[in-house]
Amino acid sequence: MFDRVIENWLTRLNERMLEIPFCQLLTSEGYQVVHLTRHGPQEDGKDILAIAPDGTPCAYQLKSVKGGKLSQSAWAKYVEQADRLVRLPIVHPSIDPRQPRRVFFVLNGELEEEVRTQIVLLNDQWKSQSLPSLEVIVKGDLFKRFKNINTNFWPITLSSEKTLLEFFLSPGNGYLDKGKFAEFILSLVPLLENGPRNLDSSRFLASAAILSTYALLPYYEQENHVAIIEGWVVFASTLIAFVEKNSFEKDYWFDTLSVALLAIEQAFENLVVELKERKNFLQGNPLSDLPFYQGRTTWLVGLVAAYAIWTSLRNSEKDHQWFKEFVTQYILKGHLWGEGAVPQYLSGIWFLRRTIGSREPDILLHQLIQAICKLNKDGSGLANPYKGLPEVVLETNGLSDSMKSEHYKGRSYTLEALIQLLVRRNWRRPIRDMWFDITHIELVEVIPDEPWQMCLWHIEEQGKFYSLMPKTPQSWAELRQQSHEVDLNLIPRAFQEYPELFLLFTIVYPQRLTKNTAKFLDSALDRRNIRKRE
Amino acid sequence: MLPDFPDEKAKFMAFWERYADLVREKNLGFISDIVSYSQPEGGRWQLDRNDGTSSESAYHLVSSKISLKDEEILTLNLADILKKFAELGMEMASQMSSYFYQSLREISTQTGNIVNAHGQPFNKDVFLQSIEAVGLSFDDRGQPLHPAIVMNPHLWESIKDDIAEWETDPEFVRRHEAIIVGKKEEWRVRQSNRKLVD
Repeated sequence: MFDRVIENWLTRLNERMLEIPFCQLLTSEGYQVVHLTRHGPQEDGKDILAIAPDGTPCAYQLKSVKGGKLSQSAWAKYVEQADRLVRLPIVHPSIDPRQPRRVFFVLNGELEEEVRTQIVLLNDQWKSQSLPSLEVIVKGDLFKRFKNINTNFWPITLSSEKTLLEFFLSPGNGYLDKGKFAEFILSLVPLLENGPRNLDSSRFLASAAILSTYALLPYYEQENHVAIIEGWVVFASTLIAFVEKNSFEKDYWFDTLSVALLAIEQAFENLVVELKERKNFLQGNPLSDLPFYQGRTTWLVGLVAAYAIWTSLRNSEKDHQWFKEFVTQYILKGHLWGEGAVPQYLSGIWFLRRTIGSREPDILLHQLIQAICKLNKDGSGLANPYKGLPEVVLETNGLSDSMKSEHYKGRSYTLEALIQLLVRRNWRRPIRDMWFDITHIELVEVIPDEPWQMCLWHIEEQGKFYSLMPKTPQSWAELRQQSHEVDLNLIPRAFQEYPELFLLFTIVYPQRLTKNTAKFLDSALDRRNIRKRE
Repeated sequence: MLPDFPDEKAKFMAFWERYADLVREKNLGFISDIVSYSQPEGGRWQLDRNDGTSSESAYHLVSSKISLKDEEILTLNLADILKKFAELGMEMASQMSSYFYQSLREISTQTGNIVNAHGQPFNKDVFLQSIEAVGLSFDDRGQPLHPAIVMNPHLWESIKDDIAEWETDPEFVRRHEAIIVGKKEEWRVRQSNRKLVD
């Protein structure tokens, strides 16, 4: 059955969808992927650059025939690109252009006989000019290699297969069930007491990455970019939990994480392209979209702002003006549908703070605190961050399947984080004016026993549920001191190194936005503190 | 196996469980009025209060079960099922109440917030001492939000007729009002402390 999944999956991929899993395949085989072309026609015919385990530089051009055969007429369109792939040396800082290279034409189908003959003839020509031969990887080769990963490196259990099939067969146009996806990834990367060796872990992390691409296929087909982003963030978080728990050396997992980050970037680029083309954010049946519309707007603002910060920290700042216009235009058109929206708002606030200065974003931060206090005082409180947008919308509209309604008023998971951010900004008078109402709200958070547990979707037996009733009276000096204290021991090292990923993580895992997390990000994303990554 | 209908039967079970919840809430009495929240994560719980005290505890499991004998399964009717879930709800209420009062006793003993009647019957003096020992809140109109009084039903039977008599005793009324005035002042001070200082 699993073979059928792989085969079916291979035939459904287009070129862009093949890129990430192919990179993960190479990583699992010990290759170092050094470049993935982002978008647009390649000038030198190279989609992927990698360094083989023996140090040989390799260049790949990927094409899709969705399981069919590449015809002569189709090949005629590609032959020029293939020629460039062979002729032009690999230009990349990690690769010596004088070193002998290998070049590959990768196809998720087969070649018609005439095409195969033409390639043989071309290879003779190229060889006579001391150029490398064009090696061809077709569907059968791809199938064997993808199958080998999962057979050799880590057995997939029957229940994991079932979950994989459920995702694989899902329509892909809905909200990604993050809890279920996290559980699926966790089943592939077990957090063992006595963990495997570094090298084994490297292989089965790559294997887990490829299984993740199988599971996310329907979302790729539907171009459900947000679900793809979330899926890869869940994968990256589980990877981080695994490597930090077992203290694996970076060399053995960094490549797999890098490809996951590439997948996230690719999905973001596609999302931005779509948003630029849209006149509105309606999706699906318009008659029942209204209850979700504003929440979706807030979500998109949070994601776009996070991506803007991502590109800025990764030295690939582009579309800066568009990011600024988008976030500025829509941040006030959204809706605080639940505490799950707070990281989305914070993402926008942090981006605007870096872009337009501190006044308006800090006002928005203040308004966020006021809104939470008011909802707890006069309303029914705010849904906790364990509830996603669709669940909250159904609950609010009396359409929830659950017979028992949950109580939210009088408790908040995110308020303390927001207060400490405003205190950092020395907004004493507004805090003073709100303190009376704040003292009626229980401030809660979950504190994992160890930092890697933060990366899990759910911590059951371990960790502490911490509850604080605000002090009466409260010393401003004490608040100020607390607002600057960040405990790095509570934050996984990988997130400290990649705050842009950490920010995205809090949007995908809003239940992990604690005061410590928020303060860390506030400092890490402050333009004055940023050291751009080399 | 024979044909089964697990998804549809799950809807029935959800309905019965909700019924058991309602029975539980009814039998908990005022305890079910205390606001409760779900706590999705964590193996233990720490509470830091606004007076600076703190306590940490593990979670206490409350559980019950429904047993069915083979011979009764085929003869079950709606009333029987309702009875079983009602028993479940009452058992859960009983366990939760026990734990609630046990915790209350432990905390009261720890904080010393106990009135010892020294063997006296529950009379006006003991009642007034008890009121004095608890914190009282007031609503927006300045009216006291009286606490719930929980007592043994036999004790209630023995004193319920006396209470009407207490309310005609001018000395009792004067002392009661003085306590309420004092409590209001304490509440006012607590409210005025809901502020930022220095």
